[in-house]
Amino acid sequence: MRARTRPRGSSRQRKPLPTGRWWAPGDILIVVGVVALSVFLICNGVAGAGGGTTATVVISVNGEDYMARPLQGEEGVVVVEGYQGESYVEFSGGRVRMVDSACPDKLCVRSGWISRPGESIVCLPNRVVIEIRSGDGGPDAVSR
Amino acid sequence: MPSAGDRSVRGTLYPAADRRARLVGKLGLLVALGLVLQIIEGSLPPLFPLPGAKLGLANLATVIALILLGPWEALAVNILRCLLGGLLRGSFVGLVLSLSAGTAATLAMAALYMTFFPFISVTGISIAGAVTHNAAQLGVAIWLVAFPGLKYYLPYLLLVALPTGLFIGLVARRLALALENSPWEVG
Repeated sequence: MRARTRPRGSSRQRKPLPTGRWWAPGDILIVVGVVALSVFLICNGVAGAGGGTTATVVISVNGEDYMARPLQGEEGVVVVEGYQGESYVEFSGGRVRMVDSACPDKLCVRSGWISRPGESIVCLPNRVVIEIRSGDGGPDAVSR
Repeated sequence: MPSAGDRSVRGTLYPAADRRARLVGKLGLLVALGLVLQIIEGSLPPLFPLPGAKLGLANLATVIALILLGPWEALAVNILRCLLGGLLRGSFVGLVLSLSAGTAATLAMAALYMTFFPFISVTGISIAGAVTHNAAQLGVAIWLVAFPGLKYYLPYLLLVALPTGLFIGLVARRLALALENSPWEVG
């Protein structure tokens, strides 16, 4: 390893240094493996990050839970029996919006898509509330 | 560890006891090194914006013990350093986190060192140890805090472990070389 000899009187046998070179081919495998694993995990996390994979959508009418279903999963329009009439809630690609509602002002329709835990759509005249809750804690669980 | 043919040991009256005393001294030296580095690192500002991501200077002692003394000695240095460091800091959660993660990392590094050593250098072993350390620490943290949302944090901790493991590995190798050549015969 090193040509330098110790300036000592001892004639102790130098055993070969067990440190080797500063890098070896196997290191590249480790680094590539870790980077690949991280990228895979980040991609998986981002795909479900629109509220986490376990976020649930809770729809309530007049203060009472009407239905709850996962944000991800089957897509389509759900009909909600509201206070004044029917509201139509669309699930698509991890997002939720109010397509139409039995109300005069349509404020709920204009609030558009929601996808993150904590966001909500309220239709006051029809007393329909759509709310996204994080299933596995999310940011709420930290501050609680 | 001095071998049987080591002159400095052969010359003593009780070779076995002398070897043991030397080993205890080396272990104590490395544990003390780890403790001092841990305290120094604790007083520095955090290097990364991520909480829990540290340089892991204290693990230098473990890596050096693995190179110079052997896997069991590295495990002993790590466990002693974590126990004493936990007592110094006075936080039980910190003690559990560092002890479990450090032990997992040491076992991983020892296994790699004993099976793949010439193919994977000390640097690569240190990187693998840092990655194992961060992953194990996050796992224990999730279990302790009962907050699975922490798992989204895993890839960033793994990526941070690459530069820190590289740095620790390079420094540990240099230090091991220097100690091997030192007049104190740590190696």
